[in-house]
Amino acid sequence: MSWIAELGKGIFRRNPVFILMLGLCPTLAVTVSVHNALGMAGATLFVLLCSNVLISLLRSVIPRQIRIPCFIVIIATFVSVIELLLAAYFPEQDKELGIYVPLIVVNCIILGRAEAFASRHGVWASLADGLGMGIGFGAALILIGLIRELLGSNTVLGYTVAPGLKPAVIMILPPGAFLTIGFLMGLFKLKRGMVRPPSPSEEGG
Amino acid sequence: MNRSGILSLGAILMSVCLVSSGLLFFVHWATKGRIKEQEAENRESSLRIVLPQAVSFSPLTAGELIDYYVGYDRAGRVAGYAVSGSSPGYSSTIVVMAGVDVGGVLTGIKILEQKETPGLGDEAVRVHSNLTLWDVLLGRSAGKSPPRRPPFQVQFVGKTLAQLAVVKKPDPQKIQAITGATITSRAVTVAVRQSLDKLLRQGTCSVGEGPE
Repeated sequence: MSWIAELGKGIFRRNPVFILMLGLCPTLAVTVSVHNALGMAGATLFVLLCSNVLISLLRSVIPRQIRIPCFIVIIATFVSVIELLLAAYFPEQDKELGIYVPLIVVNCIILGRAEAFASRHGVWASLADGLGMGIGFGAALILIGLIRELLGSNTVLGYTVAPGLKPAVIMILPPGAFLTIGFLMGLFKLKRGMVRPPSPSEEGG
Repeated sequence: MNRSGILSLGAILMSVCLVSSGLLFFVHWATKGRIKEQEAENRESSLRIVLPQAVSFSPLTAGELIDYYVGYDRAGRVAGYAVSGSSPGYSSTIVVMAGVDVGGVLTGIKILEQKETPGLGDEAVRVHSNLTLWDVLLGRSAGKSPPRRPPFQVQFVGKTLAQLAVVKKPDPQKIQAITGATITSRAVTVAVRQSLDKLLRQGTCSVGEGPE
């Protein structure tokens, strides 16, 4: 598979949120607005890229028996780095995202890609995989954030859409997250089913 | 697995940990100064919001371990005091900073920390732009200036300790609760009251008793 295909698969065909159903905890929690979704998408993309590249580079050095602890240490290190960088240079995002940034450590997309892809493929393919998965995750967050902010606060990026209209507050509360994600997953499944049947040979994450 | 195998695995894991702590040490060292600066900037801007009449501030530590700030006006006279307090809200502890002038009238409050329900409780810190998305997209934003401070917090300006009561109907002499978030509204008000109480107990100003 060429690396352009690696990049593309994460965005649609193997979208981490809608198809692989990974990393749903941060997805449900931070998508109350487009702004928050953007912050989380950026932080996750950074960690995913760094961990994929480093784990791919070290794949011949790390013995199989202790690969998971090594992956966790590497991922946790990059998460701590982005936490410090956010606090230093983006204090507002740091405040908004709060505890969700440290929780990137246990985001299963990152460990999943490390185990299923980066530890078995070369650096460039892993970079493309990380970029594609990161963009796919980010796009899903932004899409959910857009829908929830629009319906739940009647705003997009903080700007009012329909003045005078009362928003459905439930959409920015936890039930709104489940509703939105459920409908979007359904749409993805419908589309996939019509386009082609899922092939069983592909690796899971 | 034999003993040397286990030892070599341990050594590899240890070196991974050592390298990662080295990296963290470096990043921490590189960002330390900037994070400190951000905190100081944050405190400074909060003080300017709660004590708009003051131009310089100095921190004071009073007898019973409370920190408060004295604000001075251009002529170097005491213009007011700022102190922070906290109270449990609906889903988080709300920390506020409140500023009073020497007569004990509130000059501003700022919520420093909160994690209240998005869309309900966190209206206390939301500033709603009066621009619509269409204004921005079509470039009609010129001439409309968005409000700077959350309307809920603006209510506290000019109130005295005795007026710090939460009501549900609009009342210029009281604090009007946020729709659907009475607990948060009360918690903010209690936190402000507590910080004023602290000042009062210090005897630094005669809170709520009119000008000196």
